[in-house]
Amino acid sequence: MNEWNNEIVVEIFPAMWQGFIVVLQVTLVAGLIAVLLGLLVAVGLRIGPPWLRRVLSAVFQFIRNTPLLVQVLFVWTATSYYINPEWSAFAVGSAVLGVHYASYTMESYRAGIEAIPVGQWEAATALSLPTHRVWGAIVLPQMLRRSAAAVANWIIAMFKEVPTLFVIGVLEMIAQAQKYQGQHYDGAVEGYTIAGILFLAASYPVAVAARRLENRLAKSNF
Amino acid sequence: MSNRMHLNRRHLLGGATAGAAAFALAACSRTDQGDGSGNGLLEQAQDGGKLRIAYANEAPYAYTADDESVTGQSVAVQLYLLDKLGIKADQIEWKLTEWESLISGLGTNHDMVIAGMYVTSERCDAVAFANPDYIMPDALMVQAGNPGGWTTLNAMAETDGVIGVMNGTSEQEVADAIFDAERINVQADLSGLILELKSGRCDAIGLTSANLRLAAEADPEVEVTEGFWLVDPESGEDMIGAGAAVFQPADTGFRDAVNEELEKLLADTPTWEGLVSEYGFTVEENHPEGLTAEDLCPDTYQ
Repeated sequence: MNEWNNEIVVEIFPAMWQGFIVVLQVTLVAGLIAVLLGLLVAVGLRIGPPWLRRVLSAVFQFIRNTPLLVQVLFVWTATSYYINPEWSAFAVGSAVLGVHYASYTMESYRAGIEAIPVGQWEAATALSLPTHRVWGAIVLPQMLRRSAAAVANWIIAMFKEVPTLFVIGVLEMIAQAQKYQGQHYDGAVEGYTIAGILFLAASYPVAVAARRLENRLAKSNF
Repeated sequence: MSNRMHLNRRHLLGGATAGAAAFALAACSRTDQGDGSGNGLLEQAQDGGKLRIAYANEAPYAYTADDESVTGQSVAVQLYLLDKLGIKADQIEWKLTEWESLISGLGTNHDMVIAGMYVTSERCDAVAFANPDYIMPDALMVQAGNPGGWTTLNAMAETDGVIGVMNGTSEQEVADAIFDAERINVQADLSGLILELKSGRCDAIGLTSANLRLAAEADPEVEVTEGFWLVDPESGEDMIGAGAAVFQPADTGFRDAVNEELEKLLADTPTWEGLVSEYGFTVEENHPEGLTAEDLCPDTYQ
């Protein structure tokens, strides 16, 4: 009974695929948050007033140093009780995941900013360039190229963490596999294998692309 | 996990496979013993021989307690019956077995199964069930006072109420068939469901009544409705959850002897209650009241 069964694979696949689509949707929403919020925070840490820098730094330090699972459960429970119980698990879960990974991407952006030679900052000051020109024309274009590969890797890592959201009822792939198992007492090996293959099929091409990008940027002189 | 499994034991997919295997095994042991009445095992045990009993470690039916002893509602009842037949607890060799192998390992790994296994017609085909020693209806957990007036899963499906179910249970399977998808709230565990209930994202939680009662005991914000039977969405019949001990088809003599003692025990309600009440079972909700295994699988009973 516990041997590999192709019929189960056929039976379970539509549900797994449905779960996979949910994973991709979460990744899209949370990924946008992680990419944009991380950038905002990285810039804020560079040019914001001292009090803002201290607050941002403390908040994101805290987020980075507590487990994602705890954050998901805490925010879900807190929003249910005190803010708005109508918010969906998908929305709350995606937001928490995105903010959590923003705390990592901001570090990659920061590294990109700090890699810009001090001479360029001095030159910008000497020329009295306005702040928006300094960032828009000089810092961001270089920094984004330097950070792109690292940020892409964080997004892949985040993609693989989506099943964490099952604890608040987001029916992703692992939930679908467990549903089948619970109702049929079978299909554990098949379900988890399909989940693994789908994750690999989606993340491997992105990982290869990120590596290529990294190599190309390393060769170009900027 | 084990907690989740017993909720839907009635759906043993691959029952056909298990059935075939168990049939083959049963056929073998029949020839081995060469005794049509199949009293061999019972006599051996009554003579002081070992009796190998499989359990699947599922509270509250049959599980390993903190002190390493095997305990639970089904264990308490069956040990009482075996004792009446002259078989002592120290003759029993407990075999902790995967749920999937309880039926297929019958005859090779073990002689008897005590796991509170639900009697289904698929399984009757493969094994000899004793009569049920408990029944387990479903119930709904609702907010205190039951403001929505919810009663059963099917009645709820007719309204616009949102049902909360645990992932992988037969309650979810039934809900999937009779509720619109957006009116089913699925969570991984009961505590998650209770949070959904309290925050109003679902109106009621459907699960076996014993589990709900245990969780509602210490929580004044929720209550549990009267028990009811799930209705099979395909056949329209009640899905009666009734658990019993399991024997090989060759050991029907042994099974009949156990049935006889069980009948006496069930007639003596206070004694039955004394054995099972500590596991959360009640006379009102869980007493089989004359329900037999044959009632549950009239076509395949053996």
